This record gives sequence, structure tokens and C-alpha cells, in this order.
Amino acid sequence: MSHPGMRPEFGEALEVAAGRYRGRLAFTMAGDWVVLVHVTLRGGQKLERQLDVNGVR
Amino acid sequence: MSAESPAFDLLKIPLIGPFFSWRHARTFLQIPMLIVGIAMIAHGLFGPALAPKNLATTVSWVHFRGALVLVLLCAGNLFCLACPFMLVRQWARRLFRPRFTWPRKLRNKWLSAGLFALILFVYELFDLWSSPWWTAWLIVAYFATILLIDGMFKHAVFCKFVCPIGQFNFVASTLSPLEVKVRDQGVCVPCQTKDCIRGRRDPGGLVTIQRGCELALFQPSKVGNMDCTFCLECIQACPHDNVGILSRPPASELMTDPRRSGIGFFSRRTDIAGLALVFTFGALLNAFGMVSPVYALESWLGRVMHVSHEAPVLGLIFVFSLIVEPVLMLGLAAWLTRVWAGSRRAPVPLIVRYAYGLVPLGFGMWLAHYSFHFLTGMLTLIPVTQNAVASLGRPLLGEPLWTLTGIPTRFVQPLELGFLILGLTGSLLVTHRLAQDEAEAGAHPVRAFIPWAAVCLALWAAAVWLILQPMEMRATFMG
Repeated sequence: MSHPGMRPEFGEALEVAAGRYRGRLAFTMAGDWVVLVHVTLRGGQKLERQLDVNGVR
Repeated sequence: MSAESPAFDLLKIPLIGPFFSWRHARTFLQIPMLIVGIAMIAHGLFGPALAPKNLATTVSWVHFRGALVLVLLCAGNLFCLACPFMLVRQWARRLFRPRFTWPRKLRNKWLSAGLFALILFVYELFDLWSSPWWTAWLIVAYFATILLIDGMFKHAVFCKFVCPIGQFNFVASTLSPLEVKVRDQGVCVPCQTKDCIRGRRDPGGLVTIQRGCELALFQPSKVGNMDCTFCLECIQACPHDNVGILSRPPASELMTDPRRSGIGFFSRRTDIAGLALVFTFGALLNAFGMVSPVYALESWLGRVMHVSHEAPVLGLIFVFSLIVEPVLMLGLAAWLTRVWAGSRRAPVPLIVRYAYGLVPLGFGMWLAHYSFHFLTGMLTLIPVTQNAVASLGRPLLGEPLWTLTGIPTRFVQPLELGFLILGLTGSLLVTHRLAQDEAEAGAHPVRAFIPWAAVCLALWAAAVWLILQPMEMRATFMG
């Protein structure tokens, strides 16, 4: 769940090993967050995946 | 114009005045609102499921609510004027002529006050802010209900007795600086036709060529904004061009108790007082649903009640906040007004009379809450719209600028405090004035004022505590 109108946080994930990416993101307030992962594949194809992170305190 | 006429009349302002005097001004405002409404329904049903990316949730819960309270504060009930539901209802009434009259037992605000509380409850229970799907269906249900009720019943029954948004606007607009009002009472005295309420028919008397007030407000004896949708029909109907949109001191209508056209005396309208209490205590409750302590309270209540579903827990919180708490607080104040200040009024009439004094405080809380979401998220409309257009096939408005949000929270919070202080000041002024009138009932005015001022201060302290709480916000994380 997420409330519209709130400030989104952005972060970039960098490749640390083959197929493994790491990035830092700040949960700036308590509540239920949604992480949207935007991926650009080598061929230019774009993907979006959604992860729910509920109950952040 | 008579000497008592206010100096400011919106209809006398160049460009704005001729626009609002224009016969099709309302339709002109309603059409874009209807288009936005249809876009919200379509995007809510078929667009992204994530609320911050959807027009239905973003426009409904961020922009509409925020713009609504700010316009009510700065002008008047202009959102009822531009209500798109009424446009659809007008079109429908060309096909179906209503035949029935609204039942006498329902000609009060109890049903609409209950629906107002129900919407607040449903909003919390089903997390409507996070569901484009259910938000879209809520809008569809609104359209359907209007068509059903106003398709069956004559006059503006839905606006006057059912619409929860309308009731919110009616109560809040008692604090607005503008009012649709007669310019010169002397002009109305010899008027025989009373077109402002009756409307006008063709010479054969069969076809209405100009509606009068469908909410039964007769302009010469209309007082304040309660029940006025700013439809401007009376302005069009008056053959003497004697109805304007005039300035007045906000909240002044809460301080006096004249007989009001279409309403009667505020002091005898228990239902309107009940609506005012739902408005005021509902403001605190709605904000309470957004902060961290509500989750701790719900969790504790769930353990005590041995239930795992949210509905009974939330129901208990609502019953306490909207019924038990007001009855206890106002009951105690009324008892002190009788025992300590010496008022001869019975407790219920005292509560009814002073309930109106809490409206400014409630409006201050609604302003603080909704303006927070509006101001901190106002620019999100841009990327959400860009995204909606792009989803049609081509990004005609460019790629969504998701970094656009609004004014930083640290700048908005002082404004929230300002709204609460404004609300407290208004409530203290109104209750002070009501306490002065208490002398007629044999009471000591200062002693009569103190208990109600204490109620105002207690509610204000709760409101300040609420906006200083860390928000248990539902946000978006994008990478």
C-alpha cells in the first residue's frame, strides 16, 4: 500500500558480482513502502518489478 | 444599495463578475470536472494498481481534498458549483422526470451525517487512498446514487439530504468569506413573483425556463451558506438583479440564531449540530488514522477484544471518537454551564447551541491535514498525468518526471500550525459570543464561556499533538 502524493526516494543499484546488484535506499518515514525496480537489459529492453515492504518503523 | 450592503460583490469584479453572471457558467465549470472524473474512473479501473501512479487516487486523495478546503477557506462552496455529478443528473432528468417527494422523516441531516461517518470509516478500513480500483468504484457509486435518488425524487434531494461531500462543504462554508446573498432587502419587499425560489415558467406554465432554488432557500430570508450549493440559479432567476456573491465575516453565521430559510433555527436543529460534531471530531479522527499511535492502539484493542480483523477494532475507535467522546466532553461542559454558570437551558439544547462553536476548530484540522497532502504532493499530478497519457501509446506529455512532488514538509508544517491556531481563534470567538447570549438564559457569561473554551483548547491540543506525530505514511520507493 502506498499513499499518493508522497515524495519518492530514488537510488541506483550497481553490479557487485555477476547478476548481483547492490544499492542504498532511505526509508524516510514509517509506513508501508513499495520498491519499484526499473531494469534496462543489455538489448535496451526495459522491465519494472514491484516489491512491497510493509510495516516500516 | 442600502447602507448595510457589504462593499465587496464578486459579481461586480471585471471578467469574474460577468462570468459568474453568465447563464452557462456552471455548465462551463462542470464539463472539465466531468472529463477529469471520467479520466479518474478509467485510470482507476484500467490503469496502474499502484496508487501514487494512478489518477484516481492521486486526484481524489491529494488534489481534490486539498483544493476543496483551500477554496472553501478563501472563497466559498465553489466545488458544489462545479459538481460534475449534477451535470449528469441534469442530463438524466431530461429523460426521467422525478415523481416522488423525499420522505418527511428523512428531511434532515442524520442520514448524510451517518454517510459522512461511514465514508470516513470505509476510507480507513479499506485503505481507499491506496486502491485506485476502489476509489474509481466509489466515484461510480456516487454517480449511480445521484442518478437513482434524483431520478426518483423531486428537487435537489441528494444535495440537501444525502451527499456527504456536500454536507462537508455546507458546514465548512460557514467559515467562507463569500455568500450568495440579496444585495438590497428593500428591493425584495414588493417582489410578488419570488422567482429566486419558485423559478420561472413559460407563459403556458408548463415548461420551466429558469429554476429557482432547489434547496428551498428563499433569498430574502436566507442566512449564511448552510445548504447553499452556489448553483447561482437564484442569481439568474431574480428579475431585479438583486442577488450577488457578497463578502461577509467568516463564521458570523455561527454566532447568531435567526430563523433561516430552508433550515429554521440552528439552535433547534439537533441534526445539523450532530453533523457539525461529526465534522469536527471526524477531522481529528481522520488525521489520527495517519499517525503511528493508531497502529499501537489498534494492536492493543485487538488483543483486548481477542479479534484479528480490523473492522470491529476500527468500529470501536469510531464509536468512541464520534459518539462517546463528544457526548462526554460536551455533556460535561453543558453540566458546568448549568451548575457553575447558572444557565437555565437544558443540557441537550446547550450542546446543540455550542456544537456550532467547534466548527472552526474542525475546519482548521481539515485544513491542516488536507493542505499538507496537497502542498507536499501538488506537483505529483504532472508525472501521474504524463504516465497516464503515455500508457495510451505515445508519451505526448514527455516521460514522467517522478521527482516532482511539492513543497517540503518543513515549510508546510508551520502552515498547518497556523491553520490550527486560526481554527482555535474562530472557535473561541464563536463560543465567546454564544456565551454572551447565555445571559438571556440567566447565566454568567464568563463562567458560561470557560467550559466551552476548555473544550476548544483540549481539542486544539489534541490536533497539535496529531500533526506533530511522526506520520505512518504510505510512500513510494523508486529506483
